[in-house]
Amino acid sequence: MPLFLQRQINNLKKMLLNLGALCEEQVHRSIQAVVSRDVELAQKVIEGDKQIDLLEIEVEEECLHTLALHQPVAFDLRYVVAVLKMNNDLERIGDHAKSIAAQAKYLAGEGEVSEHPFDMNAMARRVEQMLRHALDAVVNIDVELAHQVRVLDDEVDIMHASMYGRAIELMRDHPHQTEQMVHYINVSRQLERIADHACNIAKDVLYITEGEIPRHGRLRRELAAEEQADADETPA
Amino acid sequence: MYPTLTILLAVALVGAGVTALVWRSRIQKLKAELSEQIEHGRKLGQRLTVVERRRSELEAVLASMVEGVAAIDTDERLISLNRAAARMLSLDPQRAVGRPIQEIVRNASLQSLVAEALGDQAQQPATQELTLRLTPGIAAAPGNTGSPEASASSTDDRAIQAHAAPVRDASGRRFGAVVVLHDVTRLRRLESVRQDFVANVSHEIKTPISAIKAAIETLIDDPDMPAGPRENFTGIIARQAGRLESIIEDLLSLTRLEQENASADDSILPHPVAPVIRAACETCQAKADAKSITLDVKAESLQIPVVASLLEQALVNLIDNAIKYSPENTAVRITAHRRAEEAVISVADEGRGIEPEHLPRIFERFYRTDRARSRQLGGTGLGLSIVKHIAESLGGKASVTSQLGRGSTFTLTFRLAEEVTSAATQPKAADPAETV
Repeated sequence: MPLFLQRQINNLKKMLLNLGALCEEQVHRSIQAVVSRDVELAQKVIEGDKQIDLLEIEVEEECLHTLALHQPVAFDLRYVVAVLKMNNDLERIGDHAKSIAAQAKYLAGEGEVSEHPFDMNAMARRVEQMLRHALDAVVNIDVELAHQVRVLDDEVDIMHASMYGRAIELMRDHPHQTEQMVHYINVSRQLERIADHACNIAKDVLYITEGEIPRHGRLRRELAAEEQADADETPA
Repeated sequence: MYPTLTILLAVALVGAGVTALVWRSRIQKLKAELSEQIEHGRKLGQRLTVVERRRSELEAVLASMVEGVAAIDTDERLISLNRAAARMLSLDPQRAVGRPIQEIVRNASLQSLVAEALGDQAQQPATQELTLRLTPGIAAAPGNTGSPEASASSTDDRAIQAHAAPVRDASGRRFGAVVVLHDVTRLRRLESVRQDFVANVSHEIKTPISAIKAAIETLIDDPDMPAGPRENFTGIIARQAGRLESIIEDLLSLTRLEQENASADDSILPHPVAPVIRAACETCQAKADAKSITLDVKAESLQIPVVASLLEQALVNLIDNAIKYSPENTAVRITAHRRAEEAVISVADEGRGIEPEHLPRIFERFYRTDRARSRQLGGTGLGLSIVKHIAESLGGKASVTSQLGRGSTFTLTFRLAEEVTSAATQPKAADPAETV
């Protein structure tokens, strides 16, 4: 590989990981703001999102530069394309963190609810772990770890789905807390979205190594099977 | 013919002589140079040993430092780090060295700090306080990236103060940066505890003091006050002074608890529960009688590793509370029984109960469910906090359940003696006479 391209790709990786670190921190702090009802911290998270947005643009431009100037092929091309996509996912994660912080600001101003509709700490821990694993997978292009992230995503999805029932029950029991419940539901949804983005990042790692897009695997397999069936039928 | 030969010979002789002379001086010069070289080599060897020794000295100093030190080159790659830094950043030095800082430590503030120190205008060392989560990073020691539970226990936030300074070589060219990490978690935690505490204490102490002040000022302003109102004011002063006293007493016992907590951990021996409960009931009997409340004790004979005086204080606080919040002619039930591996001591009253929203915070210092009411009953806001503190210092737990209108039950849970002391005081715990 040409030295310049290698250097450029290393640089891209550094920038992406820098963005990743920022996002991890934002997510962590936003959840902390909800749990500890800390308006100041929530405000900090909301302001911190600007930095992520700026960094996202920077990474994107750097990717485009790399593509235009070095015309990478094979692994390098996949890497740059994956960075472009992960960059996008990370920025969205930042947005979700900001949104959680906004909920935190509201919730801190209201009375404490009698019971949370979901175990926020457990869910947050899983989401943070997914994000961490996903970024770790990016660092080492670790396929094993990337697969783990996808497993964790199922857990988070289940947690999110079971939250709705509990929230509705709680709303019925404590009608005056309905507004807070709606905000907690929102927090849960944002967490679930963050988990999805982390999962996307993990899938991009798989794409870098395997060169195959792992998304919508079942759908595409079905399509392929149909085509195969069609092909089998025509000669007969 | 001869003269020619003679001349030739003479010339040859002269030439040989000259050559010999030249060579001799040259050889001498070489000899001198050689010995100089040898001397130089010897000196160099000496210098090398000195340098080597310095280096190992330096390494020893770095390794034994409490502060973490890491060196980073201009490409933001890790050159080296000492043991403390490896621990703080949870890195495996062998796998971390040579990799970019972004890959091994995913902490945005640390990354920006390093970038700042490596930047063009970095002259002074930059300082920043970071929050590091001790999560196993990518280059962490193997076996740490397990289940969520395994890593959850290590997700404590650490407050780390980091200094980064550019490093220059002899010619003043910058070739990297050094980051010094200082763990200030304990310090920050203590600071925040102190701040909360001071805020609460000053609030609680200020209230009686301002009442006393107001009463005294009124008395001074009006020396000819009739006896009735005067008594009223002196009554206020007496009551508020009593309040102040009890707050200070509680504070002192909390402080004492904290100190004992730090010192006596292993020295806790198994102790029977029943006599402690009896002693606590005796202390509260007078107050109970005043409200015609019966203290109903049902204690199994259990052995738990506690300091008797502390447990008694906790129970007195709980029973005293129960009496305070119970209507007249009711009963306060104190029970001690075994549940699985644990000893459960509970104090249940038939009072008005506690609203569910207060339950999670009721053990906090100075937390009140109903400010006006509990002051009126003479609470300091510290009683339950003391109970919780005692329970925890004895390795147990304090919890509460309550039903509005039906009463509340405060429960202390301790591990049974056999469990805790199985290793240290085996013969004692195994003695059937002791455990039954």
